[in-house]
Amino acid sequence: MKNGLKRMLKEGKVAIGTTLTIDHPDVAEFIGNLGYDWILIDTEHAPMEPGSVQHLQQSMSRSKSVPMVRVPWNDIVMIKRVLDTGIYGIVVPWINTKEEAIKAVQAVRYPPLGLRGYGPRRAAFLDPDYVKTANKELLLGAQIETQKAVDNIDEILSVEGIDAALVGPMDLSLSLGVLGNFQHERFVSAMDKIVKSCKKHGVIAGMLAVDDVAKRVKQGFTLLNRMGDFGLLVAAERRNLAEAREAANTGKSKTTPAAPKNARTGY
Amino acid sequence: MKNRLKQMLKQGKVAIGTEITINHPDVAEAIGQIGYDWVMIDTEHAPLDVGDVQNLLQAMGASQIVPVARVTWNDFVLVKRLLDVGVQGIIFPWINSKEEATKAVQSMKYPPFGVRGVGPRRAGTIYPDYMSTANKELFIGVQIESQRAVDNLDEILSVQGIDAALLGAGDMTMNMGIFGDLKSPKFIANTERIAEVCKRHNVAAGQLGCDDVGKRVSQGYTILNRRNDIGLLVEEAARSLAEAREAASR
Repeated sequence: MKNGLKRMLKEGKVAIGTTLTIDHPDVAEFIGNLGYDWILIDTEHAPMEPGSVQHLQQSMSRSKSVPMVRVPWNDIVMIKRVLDTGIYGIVVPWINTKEEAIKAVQAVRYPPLGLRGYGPRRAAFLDPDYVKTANKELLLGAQIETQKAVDNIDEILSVEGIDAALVGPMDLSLSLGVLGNFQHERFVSAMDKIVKSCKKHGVIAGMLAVDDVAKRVKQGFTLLNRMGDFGLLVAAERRNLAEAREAANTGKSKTTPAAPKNARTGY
Repeated sequence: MKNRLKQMLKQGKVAIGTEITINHPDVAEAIGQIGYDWVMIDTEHAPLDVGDVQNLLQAMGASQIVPVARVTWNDFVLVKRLLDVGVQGIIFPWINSKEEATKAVQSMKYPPFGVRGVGPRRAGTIYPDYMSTANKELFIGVQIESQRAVDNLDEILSVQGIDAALLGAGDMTMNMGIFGDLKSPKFIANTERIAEVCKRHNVAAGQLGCDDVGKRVSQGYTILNRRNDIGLLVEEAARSLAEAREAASR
């Protein structure tokens, strides 16, 4: 197993991703062929199970995007089931202490580093070297999304086996009492503290639902995830309707900016 | 059953729709809440079957959108099965002659006007007056997508019961040997002729996958859809990625 995402992040490159929440193979296949560096399959806030995670990966078999999963909780049972489907990395929400970080690492890594049970049903079927390489290649991201996590950030990131710290901006701003206000001093200083601690511990800094890619890249965040499938679809459908209504009312069609070439669907 | 799409078209209003090709209830539910007038569930060019259409309709239950299915072919067996799950209309591809149009209309109507069999399993449940209103309220659209269809349009639209003639520009230009050339004078002449013949027969003119809504509306077209779910999603996801790459390299 070779994790191209982990490699590019170690080289300091920026990795852009999106999120799958619609449990349908067409969505995974089509988005998988657009050139994203990574794709996060979300079982925390979307109704998807380990079986869905496996189906979606199968339909992405022509894709070069690296598939990761966000689990609903820091739970060894869910984590092992998802890993056995062949996923390349895990994002664990709500890591607030060193103990919770250790628990996440133990769930993701095989002994002696951790406690993961043996049974990589699809993962080893795809790659005979899986068990030998998994501990090194799997990417583990801890979500930093509370005041407590920011306070404990140095301790959390000192845990061996945490590869990335991923800010969850909505939960973090909620916890700081400034929901959605990413300009607020408290949020800004929390972000600074996180990125500094990442640098100090050699951990990748990342952000889900990233608000401003250019700004975050300048700050040092490299593992970034923008809007997911459902949000993109709804936004596109709204714009499609609004443009058509306007054209129908004025008799003039707005010229939609040409889609990138790889976005053509062929019919 | 009252068909809001038919009402709009009769009043000369423009009805804007989209297409569902992704067989997932989340997609149908979301599209149902956007504010479209109608939606075409496409069984012709997407891998959707009759049961899938029913599941998609169930997910759109809270929506005011008028659901129409495009059937894979002018086949009364497929039509009755789609109607029984409760779609409010059918779009028939590749109607090229009066005989084909007659066959399409007959597949939509209960006797004595047609040959549809009785068994509206879901349709009769969600619309208690279904049996007494279906013949009148169901929407019938025929796709005009060949030169032959344009040449026969007067005869095709003389068949009673057709609500809309829908231009299919991809197949039309393919069939004319000028695939994708929407600026061709021959193609433009066909779009004009469709509008003119529709007006004469009091049938709504329309276009699926419409490239220029403004122009078509000014020509007199009233039932239009532009893009489908997967096309919109893919384009938006590609745009989002391109923006992020650009921002990251700034």
